[in-house]
Amino acid sequence: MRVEWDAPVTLHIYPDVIDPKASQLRRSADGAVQLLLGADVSVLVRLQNAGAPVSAHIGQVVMGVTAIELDDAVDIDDDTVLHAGSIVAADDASVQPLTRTGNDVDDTIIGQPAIAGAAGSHADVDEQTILGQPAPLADVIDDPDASADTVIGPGRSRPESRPAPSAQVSTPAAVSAPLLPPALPAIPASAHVNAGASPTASRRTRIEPTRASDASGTFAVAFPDGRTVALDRAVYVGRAPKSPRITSGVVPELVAVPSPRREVSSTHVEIQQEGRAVVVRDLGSTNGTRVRAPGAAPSLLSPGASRVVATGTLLDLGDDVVLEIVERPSALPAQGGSW
Amino acid sequence: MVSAAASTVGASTVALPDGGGQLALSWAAQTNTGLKRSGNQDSYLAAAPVFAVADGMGGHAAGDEASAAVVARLAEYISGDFASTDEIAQALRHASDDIGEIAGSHDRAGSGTTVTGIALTIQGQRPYWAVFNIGDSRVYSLLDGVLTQLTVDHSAVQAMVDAGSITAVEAESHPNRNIITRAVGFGKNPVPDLWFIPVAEGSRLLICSDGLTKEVDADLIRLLLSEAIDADDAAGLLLEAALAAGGRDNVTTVVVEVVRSDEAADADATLPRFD
Repeated sequence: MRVEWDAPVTLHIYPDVIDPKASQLRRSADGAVQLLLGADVSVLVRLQNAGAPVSAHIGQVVMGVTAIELDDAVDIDDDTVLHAGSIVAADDASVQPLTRTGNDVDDTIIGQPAIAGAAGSHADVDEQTILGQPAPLADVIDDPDASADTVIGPGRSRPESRPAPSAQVSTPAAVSAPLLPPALPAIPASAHVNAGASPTASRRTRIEPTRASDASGTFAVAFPDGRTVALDRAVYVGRAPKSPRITSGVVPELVAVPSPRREVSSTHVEIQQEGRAVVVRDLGSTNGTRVRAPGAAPSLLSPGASRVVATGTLLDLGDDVVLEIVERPSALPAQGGSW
Repeated sequence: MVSAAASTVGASTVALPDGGGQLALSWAAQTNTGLKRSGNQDSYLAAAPVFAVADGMGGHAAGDEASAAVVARLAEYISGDFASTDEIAQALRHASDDIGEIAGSHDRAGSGTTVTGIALTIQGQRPYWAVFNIGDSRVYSLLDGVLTQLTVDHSAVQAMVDAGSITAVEAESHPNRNIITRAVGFGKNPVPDLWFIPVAEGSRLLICSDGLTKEVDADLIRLLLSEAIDADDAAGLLLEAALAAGGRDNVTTVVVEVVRSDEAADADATLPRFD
């Protein structure tokens, strides 16, 4: 595979110790282009004002690069030429070794995971903390932007990768924008809700990142003390409710209810609207949640279980705490902060 | 925060809304370069209603400046008795912009910082800690002798633990344990995690950089945090423990004690229901 730039770039070549067949291109904040290279991949670099391409190696910083050719021994079409846009860097073409600042001055550097491998010693805890995303982990890292930097990754990238829209690489906002469309399916910036070490620990719920629109924000929860909370955000009810992990989206509403007999759990139930449905989820409460749909006999929602409920459904958490799912009053303002 | 060691102590009492009584905090913070590093790239903020630790990354002064920038923005945006999540999010976004400029001025590949902390907020008329995190600095709470890690690291090893490919114990010695997967800086919008935790009277909260947690295990953290006579004592004991264990990285400890909360969260066990 071949990648070309309209203007010369400075290329930093780092090892990818995790995947020998991996190659990734990404931008660093100062405009340099970083190439992560697995041990099985070789690269030829074409320099500005120079003739034949020359071989480049891990650990080099190569200035004045106009194109690279990756021999990554995987089934990428050799005819694929990627135009990476007008990334401007130093003008002169020279090759110099990649140097690292020693412990005497600066202990913490920014780099890719591979730098730790290059250093060779993992034993000491005083190794520099670095920001990186090891290639094999890309799909388990809980980072909505995790795919944004991934540009070329054999096994993940497909030969039909297209050149990036030029706007992505020519605007200042593109400092860390991919040179190519992300190879992985983009993880939407939706909220990941993870209830941590509670009985719901294995549950991961994705809720929509934006406040439910007027069209969908049609439900609310009525509390015994007269409060009504709109379901334009998730609502957590209990004696002293905690929130789960909130990554992005609308901040949930935490509603503490009195329970002198301590029958209501500290974080007892989650109520949220998903599309046109209201879903009630018992969060592993001690006593469960009694659900009475209109015209139906009450039934127990077991600790940890969830159920879709209709308007008019009563939720009995114990200790006379009975919530009702209601149509959202039109006057009820949206309150949740965004995150 | 380039000095080798620094410390802060403080206390505050605020009125809770709607006649909810009073909330009194006391706190202490200490930071130390450690025994091996030449400079301290940690920064902290310890001033009610917000307490935070940032661990900078980046060559030359960029790491110092990145961590200092994020605590400066938190201090700037959060004022009054209680914070809002919007203020926290705004502060982090602006800090990210600041760090972009720092990186540019140093002509470095990039600089960034972790940041984690707690901010006093009101949720549903009750006091809550908004716990926020980007990176691998941590927040712990100690309540009734139980130590709980409130934040989840954004690290390569945490991702592997989550995926079930290694255990939490294996993570402590894994070669990739110094790789973090999120930071403030690097020209990206920060993506912080957030939790809301009820403010509980008698609880102690610890905010620390990985210079503590990579040297001192959770059992010793729990012991020192619970045995200390007050927040200042706790911050000092924890920092000394990290130094005694090797002090290979910058260490920062911020301890907040909830001395009084009249709207006390009911942390007792739930009882069975008989009816």
